[in-house]
Formats: sequence, C-alpha cells, structure tokens
Amino acid sequence: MKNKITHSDNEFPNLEKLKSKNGFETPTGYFDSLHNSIMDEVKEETKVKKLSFYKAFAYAATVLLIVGVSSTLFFSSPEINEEYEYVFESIVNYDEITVDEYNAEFTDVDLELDENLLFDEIAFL
Amino acid sequence: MKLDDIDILNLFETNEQKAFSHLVMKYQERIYWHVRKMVVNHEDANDITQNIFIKVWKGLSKFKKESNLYTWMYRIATNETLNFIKANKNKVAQSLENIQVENKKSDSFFSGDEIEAKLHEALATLPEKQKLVFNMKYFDDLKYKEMAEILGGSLGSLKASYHHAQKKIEAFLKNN
Repeated sequence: MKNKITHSDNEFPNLEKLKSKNGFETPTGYFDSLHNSIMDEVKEETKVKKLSFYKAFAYAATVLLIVGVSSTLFFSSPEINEEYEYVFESIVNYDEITVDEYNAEFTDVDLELDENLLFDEIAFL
Repeated sequence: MKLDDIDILNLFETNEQKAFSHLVMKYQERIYWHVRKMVVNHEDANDITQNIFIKVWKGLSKFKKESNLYTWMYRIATNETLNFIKANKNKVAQSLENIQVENKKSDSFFSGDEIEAKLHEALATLPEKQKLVFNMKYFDDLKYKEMAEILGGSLGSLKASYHHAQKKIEAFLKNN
C-alpha cells in the first residue's frame, strides 16, 4: 500500500510539491464580514417570509370578512325575507289554497271547478 | 465554539437563526474555497457563496437528518457554482478556460508564485467535472465516497477522473 502511494507521488512530482497551496488570498477580515453579510441577508429573508405570511393572512381575513358581511346583509334584507316567507308559506299552505287562489297564482287556465273545493280535493274528482 | 452538525440541526428546531449562524461559521471557509477554486475571481466567489448559504437557509427546514449536512451543502455549492460558470460562459461567449485565466490575471487577491499560477492555468484546461473532482480530492481531501454523494457516479469513475486530471496537470506543468 505504501509503495503504491510512493509510486503515485513519483508519478506527479510537481503536484506533490504544490500540495494544498492554491495561491489565492482574501481581503483581511473577509470571513468575519462574510458571516455578517450572510446573517443580514437571512434576517431580511425572514422578514420577507413573515411579511408574506401576514399578507396572506390579511387577504384571507379580508375575503372572509367581505363574504361574512355580504351574507349577513343579504339574508337580513327585509325584501328577501318577505319573498322567502311568501315562498315558505306557499309551500306549507299549498294544500290549503282554493282553486281560485291556485288559478290566480299559477295558471291562466280557467278551470270550471267548484270554487270552494280545496286544491287537494281536485285530485280525487 | 464549533458545534457538531447534529447539534446544529437540533438547535435549528428551537432557534433557527442561532443555529444557522453556527453553521455559517463552521462551513463558510470551506464553501468559499470550493467556489473560489472553480470561479477564481474573489468577487464572484463572494457572491456565489452568499447565494449558496441563502439556499441552504431556505432548504434547511426540509433537510433530512439521515443525510450528511456537509455533503448536502457541498452539492448545493457545486450546483450553484456550475450554474454561474454556465451563465457566465454564455454571457461573454468565451470558454470557461479563458475566463478563468483572465480572471486570475486580473485578480488582486492572487499571491501565488509562478508555478501556482501555472497550476491554475492547467486547471482551467480541464473539463468542469474533472476539475471539480481534482479540486475536491487534491485541495479539499474529500473521500471518494463523499465525492460520489456530491457529484454522483461510481467510485471507479471518480478515481479514473482524478487520475486523468493529475496526468494532464502534471504534463502541463512540465511542458509550460
């Protein structure tokens, strides 16, 4: 094994002479300033990251608020309530309306039926 | 005080910035020199090193502890450096070899003697991957196994690549 290394060293004498030298230098105190620069950038990145999170949170909250307020206003509107109440009552009291009322509401056809019959009773005629 | 990689990663879970500060302290010189030997120019090496550490910062939360932190960082550094060289190559439409030789000559932070300058000229004639292999082995004394983790490829091909690089450089030094 030792011979092998010696052979390798002899094969490349110039490289062996230069081993671990690269001839490059850095400015004085460079690595201290490099550390500080990197940490400054990291702090900036963290700020941007936090800001983006808060921004996204603010957008989501705004959208939710708008949807919430719109829904509240929409469903608490008196006109809409009246409409809904009317539809609801129509369904609930559907079997209670008279033929005249039915004709007036749902059709223009003038059925010649007993005007006092309840709507459900027509089906059994 | 230099912490072990595992201590840095554990600290990162509770205090990200403090842990990262330790990591920069521990690895900044090795990463810088790895880059510098590839791009030669100090200013470029400085910019690239900063970018590398920002990438490391962004990716550290996803880093899996089973892997080796240093080889992971070294891989980021290698990719970043190769991307820089590629972009620079396209930009100035010159070969990597010429750029590096030119940079070296105009670099005020080169104090090497003639033979060291020749070594860098010889290095500039190598293909990128061969140069990386040579730098990692010759200057950084990395193990082939570590090099394989960073660069990919088999141990045999890395050994062959290093041997070819040595031969070419030795021939260049003898003939110039």
